Amino acid sequence: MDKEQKAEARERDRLLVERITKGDESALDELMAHWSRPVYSLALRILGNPSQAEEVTQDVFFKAWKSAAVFEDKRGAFSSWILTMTHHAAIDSMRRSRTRGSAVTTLLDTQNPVVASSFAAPRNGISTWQKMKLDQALASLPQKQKEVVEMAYFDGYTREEMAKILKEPVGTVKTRLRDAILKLSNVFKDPEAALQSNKEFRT
Amino acid sequence: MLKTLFHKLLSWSHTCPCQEDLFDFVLDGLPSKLQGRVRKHLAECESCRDQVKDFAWVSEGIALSADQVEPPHGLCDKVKKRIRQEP
Repeated sequence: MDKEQKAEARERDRLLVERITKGDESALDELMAHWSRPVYSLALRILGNPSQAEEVTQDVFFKAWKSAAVFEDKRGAFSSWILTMTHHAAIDSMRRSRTRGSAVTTLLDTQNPVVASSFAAPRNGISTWQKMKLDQALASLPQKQKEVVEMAYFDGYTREEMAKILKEPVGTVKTRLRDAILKLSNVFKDPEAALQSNKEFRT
Repeated sequence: MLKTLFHKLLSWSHTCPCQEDLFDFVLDGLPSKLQGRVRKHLAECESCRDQVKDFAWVSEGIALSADQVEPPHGLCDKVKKRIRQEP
């Protein structure tokens, strides 16, 4: 997806949200046609349970419908808004499950092929361009950085919990995560420039 | 732990959160009180808002790196049914 297509998608989403604020259900159909797959996939990746992931997906779109009026495109794209809501809802659901003592995603799950494949396997629903850039960026991270990104983002561990699991000082975990995020932010902010200037991200 | 939380809340009333806390905010990694506090700070601080915008791309990128799976059929109808039940 080039910059122009990205801008078009952003404008499309903005207009759909605008229609939703007026109670237009067909706009919700369209919005879900574009976003239900990424939302459900993220929830499933975090929760590892299809019925919980479906519940979170329903909650997210229900909230999007109810709070469409507070969405402001100038403060960030709809994609960021909906994915942040999804992440928050899924992590929340997972932490509640952890508190209840049910099965949790642990570090060992990164050895599970289904979980571990998320950084490598082909993904439908995302443009080839986007997928390529994501794969390049994530694959370029050293294993230890990739591990803390996964633990923080998909497993919802706090830095203190990660330090305990990894048996490393909290400071080391924080530094590792910071280095990973800074590296990724260079790519996601301007992928073309990063690919030009940083050998690490070249194919 | 409580002491750290208290100091952070106190310091943020005067200064910006550190970069690590902004990362954690974007990744939903802060305790909920601190998460809310950063959100309030961002409403008033353009410089932190700009930093968070950059990191938000990272969060979105990581989110989209999940294997894409087709959601169950009838999802949209279920959401619309709920909308009608809970207007």
